[in-house]
Parts: sequence; C-alpha cells; structure tokens
Amino acid sequence: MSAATVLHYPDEVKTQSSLVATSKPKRTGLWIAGISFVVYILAAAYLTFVIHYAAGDAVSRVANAYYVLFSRDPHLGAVGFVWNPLPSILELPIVALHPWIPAVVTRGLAGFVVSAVLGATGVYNLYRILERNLDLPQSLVVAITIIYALNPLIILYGANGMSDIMWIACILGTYSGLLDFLQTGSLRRLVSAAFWLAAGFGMRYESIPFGFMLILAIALSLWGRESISKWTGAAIIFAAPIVFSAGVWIYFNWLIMKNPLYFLDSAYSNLAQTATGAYMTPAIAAADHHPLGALLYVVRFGLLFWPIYPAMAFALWFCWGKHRDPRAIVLVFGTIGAELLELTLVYKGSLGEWDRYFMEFIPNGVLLLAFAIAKLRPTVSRWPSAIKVTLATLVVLLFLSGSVGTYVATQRPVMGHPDGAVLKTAFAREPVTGSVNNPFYGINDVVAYANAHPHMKILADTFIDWPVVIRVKHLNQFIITSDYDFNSILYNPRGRASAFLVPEPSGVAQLDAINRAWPKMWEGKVPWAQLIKSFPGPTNYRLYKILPSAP
Amino acid sequence: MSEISQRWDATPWITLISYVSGSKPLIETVDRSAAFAVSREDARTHGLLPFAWDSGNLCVAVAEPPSLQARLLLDRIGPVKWYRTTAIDLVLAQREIYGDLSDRPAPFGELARQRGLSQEALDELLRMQQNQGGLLGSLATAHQHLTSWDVAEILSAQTGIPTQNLLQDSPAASPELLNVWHLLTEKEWRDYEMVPVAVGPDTITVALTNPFDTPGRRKLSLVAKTRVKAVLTGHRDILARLDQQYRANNLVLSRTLLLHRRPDDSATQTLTKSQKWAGVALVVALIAALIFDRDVALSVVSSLFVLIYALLVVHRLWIIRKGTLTTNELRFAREEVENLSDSDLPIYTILIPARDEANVLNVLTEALSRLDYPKDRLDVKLLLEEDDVETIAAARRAKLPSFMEITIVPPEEPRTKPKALNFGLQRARGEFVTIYDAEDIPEPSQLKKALLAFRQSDDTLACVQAKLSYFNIEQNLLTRWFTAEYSVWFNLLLPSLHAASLPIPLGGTSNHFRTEVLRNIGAWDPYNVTEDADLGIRLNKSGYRTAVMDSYTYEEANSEFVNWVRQRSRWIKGYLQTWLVHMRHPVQLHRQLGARGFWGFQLAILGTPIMFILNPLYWLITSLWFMTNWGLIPHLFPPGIYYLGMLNLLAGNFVFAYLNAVGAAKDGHWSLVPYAILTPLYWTMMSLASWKALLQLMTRPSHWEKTHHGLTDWNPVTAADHRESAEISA
Repeated sequence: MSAATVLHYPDEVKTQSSLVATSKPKRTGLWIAGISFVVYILAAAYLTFVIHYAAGDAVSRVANAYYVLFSRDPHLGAVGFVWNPLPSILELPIVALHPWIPAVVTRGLAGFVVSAVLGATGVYNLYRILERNLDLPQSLVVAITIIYALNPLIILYGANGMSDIMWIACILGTYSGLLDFLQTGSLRRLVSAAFWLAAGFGMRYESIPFGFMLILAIALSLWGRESISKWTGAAIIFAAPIVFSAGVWIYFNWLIMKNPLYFLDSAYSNLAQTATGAYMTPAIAAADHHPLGALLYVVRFGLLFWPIYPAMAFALWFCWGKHRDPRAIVLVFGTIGAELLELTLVYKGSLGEWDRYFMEFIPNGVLLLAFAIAKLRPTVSRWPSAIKVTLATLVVLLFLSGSVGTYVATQRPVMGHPDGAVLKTAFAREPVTGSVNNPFYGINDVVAYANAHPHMKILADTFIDWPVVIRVKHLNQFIITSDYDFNSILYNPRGRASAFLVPEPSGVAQLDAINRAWPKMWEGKVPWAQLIKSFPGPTNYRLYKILPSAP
Repeated sequence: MSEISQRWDATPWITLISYVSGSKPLIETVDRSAAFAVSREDARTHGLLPFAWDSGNLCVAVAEPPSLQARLLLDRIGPVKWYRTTAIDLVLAQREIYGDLSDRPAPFGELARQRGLSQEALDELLRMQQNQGGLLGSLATAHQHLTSWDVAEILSAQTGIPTQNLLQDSPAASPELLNVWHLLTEKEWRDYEMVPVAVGPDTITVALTNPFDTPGRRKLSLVAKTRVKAVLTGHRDILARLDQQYRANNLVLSRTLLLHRRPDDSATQTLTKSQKWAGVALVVALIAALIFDRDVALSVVSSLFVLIYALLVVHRLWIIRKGTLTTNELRFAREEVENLSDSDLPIYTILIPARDEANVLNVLTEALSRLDYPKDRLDVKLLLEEDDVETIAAARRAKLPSFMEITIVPPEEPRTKPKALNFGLQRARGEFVTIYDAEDIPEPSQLKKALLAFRQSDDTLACVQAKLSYFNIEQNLLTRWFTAEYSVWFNLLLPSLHAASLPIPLGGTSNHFRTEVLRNIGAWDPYNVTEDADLGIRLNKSGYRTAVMDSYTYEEANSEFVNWVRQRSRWIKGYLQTWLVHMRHPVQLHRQLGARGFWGFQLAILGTPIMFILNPLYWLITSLWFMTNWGLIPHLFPPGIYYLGMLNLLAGNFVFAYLNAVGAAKDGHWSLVPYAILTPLYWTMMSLASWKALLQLMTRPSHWEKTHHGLTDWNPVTAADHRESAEISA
C-alpha cells in the first residue's frame, strides 16, 4: 500500500456544466438535418437522372456490397480489402433490395441513401457543436448550419454516395464528443467521440493521423489541469476503438489475403495506382519530395473554404499559454490531422489529384470561423444593437462567401478535379461528359453482349470491370475477383471459364488482374486466347475466348 | 344529576397506602414504575398519581374528578382507568414516590457526574442531545462515557425503581415465565427493551431500561390481562436475556425462514426433480441428435452458443451506453445530507458478519465510529461464529463501543454468511438495516444518503445499493483488474439496470434495506452462496425496487491468485445456483418479472457465468483451427454463424475490455485504464474460476469458499478525520 492513499468519495451532484452535456439537443438541429437529407436525396436524383453523373468510387463501393450478397460465392470477404469497408457494409441492407429495385446497385442508389443519411448526420453534429460547445446565438447557429449544409461540395457529396461525406460526419461526431468531454468531463461523450473516430476509420484511412492529432490535443488541453493518469486514461479510451478497428482490419487482411498490409501495398492499393502515373499532375509533381511544395499544395486547398486561413491563425493564438482553450486546440489539431495523410502522400508523390481529399477544410473552416466568432462575442455583446445586427449580417455573409469560394475554387484547374466540371454542368443543367464522372460511359455494348450470351462464363477483374459486372443481367455468369476460385481460374482457365474480359492496359488498368497475369493478352499475343469481340470506348474492353490449349 | 357526576360516583375507590391482608406480605398498591408514566410536576399540578398498569390501562388515582387538561395529558399515553382516593392518600403517595415538594429532583447529568462523568463530557453530551435528540443515557453509553449498568443505576436513583442485574441474577425458567415470553413477539421485546423476570398470581414483573417508556407495559398488560410491574436493568442485561431466550429460535429461523415462507426460492436443493428430468431429457436429446447427424447437431449447438454470446456482447454495449449517463443513479448534494435533522433519524441496524478476521477489527471500529449518524441510534451487530475463538477474544479485548454488539452465531450448518446475517436480522432493532463486511470502510454519510433515498421514494423502494470500490487498488496487477471490474459492476452495470428498472443482483455489502420488507420476503437464503444476488432477484419478484446510490464503501481487493479464484468461483457458483433456483418455474418467473425483467435476469445472472464458461471452449476451438485446420471445426459454424462467432471473438473481447476501461474511468480510477485494456488476461482467470464453480455446483452446491481478508497490511490503516474522505496513511 502506498504511503498515503486517499479514498475518494464522489459526493457532489454534478455542476450545471455537466448537465448541459446530458440535456437533449434542440430539435432545430434535427429539423435542419432532416431537411438536408431531403435536399441531398433530391440532388442525387437530379445528378443521376438529369445530368447522368455517377461517382465511380461511390458506385464501386455499392458494387462491393452487391458481390457480398449476390456473387457466385456470397461472403462478407467480398467487400474487399483495399478500401475501408464501412460504406459498403452500411449499404448492404439497401443493396439487398436489388432483386426488386435493381437501380439500388446499377445506379448506385444505395450509396446515395447512405451518403445523404451521413451527410445529414454531419449537419446535425455541426449544429450540436455550434450550439453546445461554441455557445453561439441560436439564430447564428441555424444560419451557419444551413450555409454549411448547402455548400456546393457538401451537397454534391451528400448526394453522390462517396465516403468523403461519411468521414466528415465522423469527424464532426468526434469533435462533438471530444469537446463535450473536455468542457464538461462527460465520459459518455468521450466514448461517443471514440466510436465516431473508429467509425471514421471504417470510412477513410485519414482517421489514423486525425485521431493521433486529437490525442495530442487531449494531452495539450488537459496538461497541467488534470493528472497525467487522467489524460493518458482519456487518450486510451479515446483511441482504443480505432486501434481495435485497425487491428481487426490488419488481422482480416492477414487472415484472408495472407498479407496484413494488403490494403496498403497490394496491386490495387492507392500506392500501386499512383505508381502507374495515372493521377500525376504538374502540381503534384512539383510537390513530390519537396516539403514546402507539399505543404503549399495542401494549404492551397484551404481555398475550398477561404475564411479558414484567418480563422486558423486566430485559433492558433488560443492553443498555448494562458489563453489556452480546448476548443481551439481540438479544432486546430483536428484540421491538421485531417490533412496529414494527404500531406505525406503528396510529399511521397502518391496522392491522387482529387479535390475531395481536401473537403474537410470546409467543415473545419466553418468550425474555426465559428470559434473565432464565439471568442469575439463577449466583446461585441457590449456594443449597441445596431452594430451587433450589422456585424451578425457580416458574419453570415462571411460564411456565405466561403461557400461561394468553394464553387470558385473548384473551377480552378489545379483544385477542381473532378468536381469543378460536375458543379458547372449541374448548374448549367447539362449532361456530364467523359468517363471520370460517368464510369458507365461506353460499357453498354459489353453489357449487351454478356446479356446476349448468358451461358458464357466470363472472368473479369472487378477492380476495373465493376461497371459492367453490376449492370449485366446474370451476375453469376461472371467469375469475379472476390470469388474464392478467381485466382485459380485466372491461371488455369481451361474448362472453367469461357472468356476473359480485358481492359486496355493503360493507366490504372495496368493493375487489372488479367493484365498482370497475362500482360500480352489484350494485344492478342497469348496463344490460348482468341479475340471474340472488341468494345471501343474509354476502357477499350476486349473479350477473349479461352481455347482448349489454355493451361 | 349530571353525567359527569354519575360517572364520578361510579368510579371505584382505592387506597394508595400499603397494607397487610391476612397472612399475605405487605401489599403495595402503588407501582413506582407506573408512577413515572407522567412527570412529577404534572402529577402534582393535576392532582393525580398513576399507580399501576393493568390490562392495557394505566391506573390513575385522583381525589377529585380529573380536569380536562389531566384527561388530555393521559390520553396521550393511552387508555386510562380512573380510581378515586382520598386527598391524604394521594398527597402521601405522591410524597412517597416523587419526594417532598421542596425536593429538587437530581437531574441525570448530576447523578452521572457523581459516577465519574467529567463535566466536559457532560457538556458535550448535552450539546449533542440538543442537536440530535435522544436520551442522555443512550448518548452517554454510545460514546462510552457510562456503561449501560451505570445508566440503570442512575435511573434507579432518580426514580427509586429497584434494579435487577440479569447478567448475575438471571431469573429461573418456569412454565409461567415461558408463557409470558410468548405473549409478545421477539421483535416487540427487543423494541421495548424489556424482558419478563417474574410472574406472580396477579402481577407480571418485567425488567426494562427506560422507566419513562410506556407502550411496552401497556401492551403486555393488555395481552396478559393482568398487572405489570417493572424493575430497571441495563441494556446489556436485556440483550443477554433475550439471547438466552431466543437463541435456539433465532438459529432455526436463520436456517429455515425462507424455506418456510417461500420454499421454491430456497437453494436447499440445487435442482428440483423436474429440473433434473429436464436436464436428463436435454442430454438424451443431444446424444440422439449426435448419433443421428453429428455435424448438424454440433452445428446447431454451436450456433446457439454463438447467438447467446452475441446477445451478451450487445447487452454489454447497451450497458456502456446507458451506464455512462450520470443520471441513472441516486445522487444527493452535501446540503441535502446536512439538512437532515438528526433528531428525526430512526434506529439503523448494521450487520457485520466476520470470521477469522481479528486483524481488521480496529479498522472496522474506526470506520463505524466515523459514520455520520447519531451513535445512540446505531444498532451494530458484529456476527461472530461461536467457534471462531480468536476473533471473539479479539473483539472482547478491543472494548468495542456500546453501539456495537457482539452476537455469537451458533456453529451449525450451513456455515454461511447469509445464515449469520439472518441470525443477526432476528435481533435487529432498526427500521433500516444494512450489511458491511468486516474490512469495509463506508463513506461517513452513507447511512444518511440511504435514508434520503428511502424518504424520497415510495414504499416500493426496498433496497438501496451503495457502490463498492477498493482501497488497495495499486497493490498489484490483480487488484487493479479487480478494481476495474468492480467499477464496471457498480458504475455501469448496476446503474444501467436500475435506470431500466431491471432486477439488480445486489453486491455483497453496503446494501440498505427496509427491515420489515427484508423480513417479509424471507431475508437471505442461507443455502445460496451468492445470497446477495439472489436477494436482489427476490425483491424484484416481490414487486420491490432496488436503487443504486452514489455513495462508496471501500473494501480490500483480493490480492492473491488462489484466494481470488476461491472467491470468484463462489460468486459464479452462486450465480448459477440463483439461476437454477429462480428458473424452477420459468413461466411464473416471467409473470413476476415481466418480459424485460425476465430477459434482464437471464443476461445478468446466467449471462455472466456462461460467458466465462464458454470462453475457453471457443479459445480452444480457434487455437485448434489455426494449429490443425481440423475439418470438423468448419462444420460447427454455418456461414452466418461463422461471422457472428468471429465478431464475438474480436468485438466481444474488445467490448468487454473497453467496458472495464470506461468503468474504471467513470469511477475516477483513470490510472487503471491502461491495465483495464489488458483484461483479456484476467478473463482466463475468470474462466478457470467459472469451471471450478461449475464442477463445485455439482459436488458441493452450498459450500462457502471463505475469502481471506487482511492480506494487505492492516496495521498502518487508520481513517483520517475528514468529513467525506477517509485517508489511509502509513
């Protein structure tokens, strides 16, 4: 026994501040979130059916869920081990409706519903932070929330089924819980933050550096104010679920793919894709292994919500010294953490050119700006009403200018790929062009041919071929990547597959399993494969018959 | 003639002067002890003299028709029978009883001073009496300034009522005296602090501690339909006499009360005949299924267990969510506790069963002395086994404060803690009762908080559970894990169950009860080795509620592996035993607990042991699969079940470890969080204990695996004088 052990009898009824943490959030937040959901669903309908836009990465997640339930070998592992699995898992119940509503898969509707739900959840989380943690006036909270919810990129991603908006919901959920914990000591909210963070890992790998930075934020916030054991304990409770999630993910990669880091270094991984040079742009090339260049590349995307620059500078002042404010620390560290993976990847030359990687600047910018206003509010509250109304109007205009700035920024060539074009055509009510914003472009002939030959057993790597696979009538005529026997048939197809569907080996299609296994097949230089048909288009598919001489 | 005059004329005459009748000894008409039913001032002012208790009436002599004020005064005492006497008789008798008019009656304090009470102590006692009420004699004995015999002698000097030392001069047993004992219940004798000592042809003589207290004599004279006289004696004398009289009966009741009242709830037999048949049928069906189709049978059984396990994981997740709320337990502000008026506080009984725990008595005494509760209203019973000579000797040497009473429990089977508690409960005087283990250090304000909880709730609240934690947390890894586990139990699980109005398996100590309710439902089951959990379920079945309050009792965490396994296996065995007992009539149980309560019972009582019994099986299967790829194993897990099993293995383990970390944090033990994350190692120990429990349930169901306390060094442990925190310092 230690020399002096103090027995602590918690006796006091909790103070008012902790009651704040347990009171119900106002219904207004739920209403705004509900309306946002409707807006995102309507936007999804508009984007899909009017301008024929589809986000490839979003629909491919739906495809993964589709394979889990309807492929030749239905199994959960079919969800894939490269991209984070949670979007597909959340889409499973909706994808199950495919026999009755094929569009949930063929049009990616399942993804739209999930992104709209989580987009609206993010709106709610933001409202909650503004109201509880920043303690802004109700009217301003409502105005800021609506402006955020209607930001062009937020609407686009709330509607397109991408995981980015889902991750933003997780970021905001994490902030909300963590700020409640730091402000009121509510353990329940700390646990909530931890689970939001873990859910974030299910959406995006960026959650790891984001969580790491927030652990530092916890330490810095509690440093000198609480015992070391409290902040280490809080950090463990906060980090445990995401560490567990990452551990499980690595375990499954090892168990099923026989490589614990399969998601990181497999042939389909982000690193492998960028290594093909398919996503290299002059801007990324300039940042490649150039610390300042990499930093500037990332910081430039702050223009997606331009007020983040002054707001960040303001908040930095409150991260140290006697002005230290946990809210500033969490928001500043979180903002940095959310972009840390991108910064690393762009430095290594392994980042894609997508603008969505930096979308977190929008909610983070909104929150940092709101924090600045919350800090200045006591000073302003002593001023005459007329000035206060004027200032409130200016504040709203400032937030609005951020949203306008989002659109303007996406129209810049370096920053707006690929969404600048989508937003522009969306506002102009014109159909999108090219395969980047419509992965189904040019696949109709392949689909029609497969449908016309239902008895043909076609092997296809869904890494590239998923748009074809999800639109054919009979999925089971395809031997797909997640099937247990895919690799076996790929190398020994005789008598087991009728044909191989091969995309032209350029860009990331070089990573297609057939192109890696039989690099000369597309050119027609594999002797046991005979060309059945070519399908000109962006992917330039060719269908090869497997001859009896095949291995 | 008016009605009053007629009644007065019909009032019988009595002489108050002692007289001789024939060869009989001197007949004394006036019983001194009855005369003090009213104060000497009132008696003189209203010209009256109570001279006897007879057939439920206070017999009062007056020379003139009693005034309205006199009637009102005596109405407050109870029924009165008026007698006429002469003025001279009345005056002479009053002088005989109360002394001369000019005499100033000596106050209690002055007489106590003559017996050695210091002026400072007297001033302190008077101040205390002013603040918290109570009798000066009780306060003086509670604070060890006087013995109970001193008090009896002082009262005798004040009133002239003779004393009788029952410790030295125990009345001879006789059939007549036994009949008198039977006129009142044991509880009544204890409540009135009164025992019969002699029986005459038309008079019963009782010994009592308080001559000014009248209900006992009124009641006895009423049921005996005769006169009741009183002599004075000490509190200890009364207890000794009651013990002599009721010991055998107490023992029988402590073993059979529940069996008598609710035989179906008693664990005297582990399995009923129908349960045995059901078990046999299940085994036969399983064997038949295995013969018929081994793979399908194994797969079904395995799937069932996986589903149960998944349900338990979900249940634990629900606990995390619900348990982290701060509103799901009763909390009282310091001001609320301080605003309680001490003078309104009832007697509170504390039962402390102890065996082989001589070394912790000092700390126990210190902890009880620090309780913020008037000591004269504490009724502490230290329950010691008769053959535990060492502890008994230590307790006697320790000169315990008078509010602590050593109660010797006869050494008869079953040798269990609940039997000792039942024995103590028979003697409890308190309106409320709680139990502490001998090594417990309760928060000083705990009794008052419990009282507040009862007062602020309706009568359906029968029990308030305080939280338990440990004071030797940092002793070793085992105590850290143990503390984290306790934190989950008392900070997450029980508050969650309380908030959801589900049955609460009570913790081993610091549960506070309404004494009457506890007696009515049969008290503790002496044959159940987790009598606390069982009692929680029985309370719920009887329509009562249990609440969890934010007050702590600190205990000694088990710091030795073998001792820990013994304790844990007893707990797990008790849970299985409790489950089997209450599942004798599942439909009836469902009706009593409701659907939610029924399933809550299954998850809390069966779920806890079953998880730890299943764990090693699944660990074995998983290890076998990785080591041998044995073909049978995939057959055990159909596709969906395989995923669920995998989720159980991974997410389940995480959820339980995380639960421990959150529980420790909620309890303020942030330093335990890193260790809590390592608790999967602790579960291997839990599984070991669970299998031991399962085997012992079949071989020795009621065997009590004693937990040895005092494994930490108790000598330097002292409770500091701080209001809401005890500091243990070396």
